[in-house]
Amino acid sequence: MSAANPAQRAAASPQAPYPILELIKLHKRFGDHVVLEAVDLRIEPGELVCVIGPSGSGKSTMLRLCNQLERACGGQVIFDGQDLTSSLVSIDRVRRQIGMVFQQFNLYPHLRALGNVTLALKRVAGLPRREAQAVALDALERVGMREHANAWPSTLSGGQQQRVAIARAIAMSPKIVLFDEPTSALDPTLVGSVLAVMRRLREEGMTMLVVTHEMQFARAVADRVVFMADGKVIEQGPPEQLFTSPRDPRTAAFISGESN
Amino acid sequence: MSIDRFFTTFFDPAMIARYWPMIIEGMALTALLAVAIIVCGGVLGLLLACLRSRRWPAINFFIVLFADFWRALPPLVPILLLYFGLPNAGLELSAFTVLWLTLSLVLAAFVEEACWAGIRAIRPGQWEAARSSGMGFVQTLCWVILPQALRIALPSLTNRAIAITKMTALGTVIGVPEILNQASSAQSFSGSATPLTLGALAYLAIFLPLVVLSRWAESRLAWKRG
Amino acid sequence: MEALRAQFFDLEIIVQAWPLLLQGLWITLTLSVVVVTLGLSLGLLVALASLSERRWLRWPTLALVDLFRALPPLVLLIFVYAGLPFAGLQLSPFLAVVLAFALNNAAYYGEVYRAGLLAVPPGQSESARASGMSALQTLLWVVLPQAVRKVTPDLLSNTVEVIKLTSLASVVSLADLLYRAEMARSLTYNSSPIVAAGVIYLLMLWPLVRLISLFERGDSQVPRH
Ligand SMILES: Nc1ncnc2c1ncn2[C@@H]1O[C@H](COP(=O)(O)OP(=O)(O)OP(=O)(O)O)[C@@H](O)[C@H]1O
Ligand SMILES: [Mg+2]
Repeated sequence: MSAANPAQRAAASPQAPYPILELIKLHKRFGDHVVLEAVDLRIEPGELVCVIGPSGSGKSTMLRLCNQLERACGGQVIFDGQDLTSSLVSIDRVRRQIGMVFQQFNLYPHLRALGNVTLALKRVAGLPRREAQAVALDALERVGMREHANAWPSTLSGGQQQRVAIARAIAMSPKIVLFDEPTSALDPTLVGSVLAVMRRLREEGMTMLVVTHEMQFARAVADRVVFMADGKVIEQGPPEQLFTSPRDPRTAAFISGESN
Repeated sequence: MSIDRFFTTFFDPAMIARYWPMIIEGMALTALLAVAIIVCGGVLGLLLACLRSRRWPAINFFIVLFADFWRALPPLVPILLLYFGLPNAGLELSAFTVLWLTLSLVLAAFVEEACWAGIRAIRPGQWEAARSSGMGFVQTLCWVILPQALRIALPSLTNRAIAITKMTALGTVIGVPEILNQASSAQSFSGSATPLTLGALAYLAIFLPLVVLSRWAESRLAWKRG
Repeated sequence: MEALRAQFFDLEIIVQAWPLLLQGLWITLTLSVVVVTLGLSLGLLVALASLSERRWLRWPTLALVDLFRALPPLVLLIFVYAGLPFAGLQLSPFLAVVLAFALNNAAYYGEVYRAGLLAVPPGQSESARASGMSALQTLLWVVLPQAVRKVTPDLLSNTVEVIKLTSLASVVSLADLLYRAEMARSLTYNSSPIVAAGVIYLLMLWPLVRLISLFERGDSQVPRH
């Protein structure tokens, strides 16, 4: 393998002394509408954290604050020791180390699968074409899409498109990947293939923050589950504890509602 | 009138032999003007649309003002002002420059609108995906947004390019020796309608293929969609 | 700077030329109304003919439409005004302008209507016919209203183009707004009347241009950066 596998690198490096991502007292309003209120969250390297909660509770907004697609109204986003809310940080340099996977895939329709993955490698990481292609093919291999490298996005199924989108995110060797309901736009039959890819990334040691409605997945794979409601983190803990003996009645209500 | 007279009036072989070189010269100038206008107006319009997508309110106000102004004003007005008015204020521009400048600005206004409509048609997720992979605004625009937006804008861009090339005929009013000017001066020298026919044929030779081509392209697109 | 102001913004000269400009404006408005009305009605016929099942009607119509779209309107105008007299047909400037621009715009409006008619799903006319309406009733009350609604912005922007086009009438010495302004300029050696004419055109056409932009707006999808 020509390019260093980021997961192996992460696994090989000693535990970092600080969390890879930390949200401190994060506030967000849209106009008068308060969407996030004093949200605190720490993600350690190598962790897979799932965020669950009712619709409109601010999960997507929190995720988009992590890579500054939205601007916070108060509080801090510390990534790898830097405060991203500071105007001194060059956000484009930081974002190349944070992968993002969207509910609607957002593949570039004018580029083939391979082109989708190589674009940022060439334009942001500055790799020459051949090297970018080698890295991209490797990433496509890891999501099981190598044989579709030359396919146009519109000819792929939703599950295949989402796997290409994941390859696009991990090809940049990010320190963390953010997932916003990666399986919500998929046919039920296609959900499994995407979740399998995410499981595999977890085994490789990739740090992931996943907003999801897939309770089974959260329970089986997450290191920690965070429950949000009304713009606040209500409760968090290991999946077994949170799913079997939630401390907050709202968590219990949400979990019993979802499992029906 | 008899068919014979009709032919000697509009297709007089002697007149054709005498005046076709003039018409060809006119065609060359029309083509040169068209290229100069399409390059300058196209680039300016595209740049304005890109600038507009940055969404700085103060700058966008002026871009909209610019586009509205040149879309609402008959091009002959600025042509007359620049050609006849400016010299009295101490600045003399050649007829060619005046025509090129005016039509480039008109084209820029329409190209800006067409490209902006194309840019706006791209879903915001495309911006977000590119920006979250670390690409800057300009990179996102160049590699992700414009390739898609320009494809959407292509039909209206070609229509505008054709329309602006037809407007070069306005040059005849200030004496730019393009096709129409050559044809009508030949007509007044010769007192024959044949040069006008030649001029019309010259325009048809340039535009008919384009018009038919765009119709064909549209029907192919429609067929693909349906 | 003072030279520019004197040459382009001399209020006194504009005031003097004002009655002249108003006469010209009247011609411009008449011409616009006539050409737009003719264009809108002929264009509809052209669109119907170009969508006809009958080949002998469809093909010649499409050929004529392409012919008139390929000729610059000014070329058509000069051909009608200066060419047709050789064939013994001498038209007044007004008629020449109306003829040339009506032909030109029947083709353009025709294309716009055609796009609109094609965009109405065939199920619409089928269900209207099934409910017992005649072909004409179906067209007038079911298909046409939907088609026109779909292409209103294009009809509007073509109308803006027509009104701008009328300024070419000055080339065949029809005394429209721009012709009067140009006359005043050559009498006074001062361009302010043309500036005034430009302002009048803008006052007429700017609202239309804004309206077209509003039609096309919808929600802006481009995120703030
Ligand atoms: N750009 C915006 N402008 C205004 N309000 C917004 C915007 N984005 C989100 N909101 C509001 O913020 C609240 C939280 O939205 P968010 O998308 O973060 O919720 P969510 O938890 O991801 O919900 P879902 O499960 O439906 O995706 C909602 O009430 C939403 O209407
Ligand atoms: Mg969401």
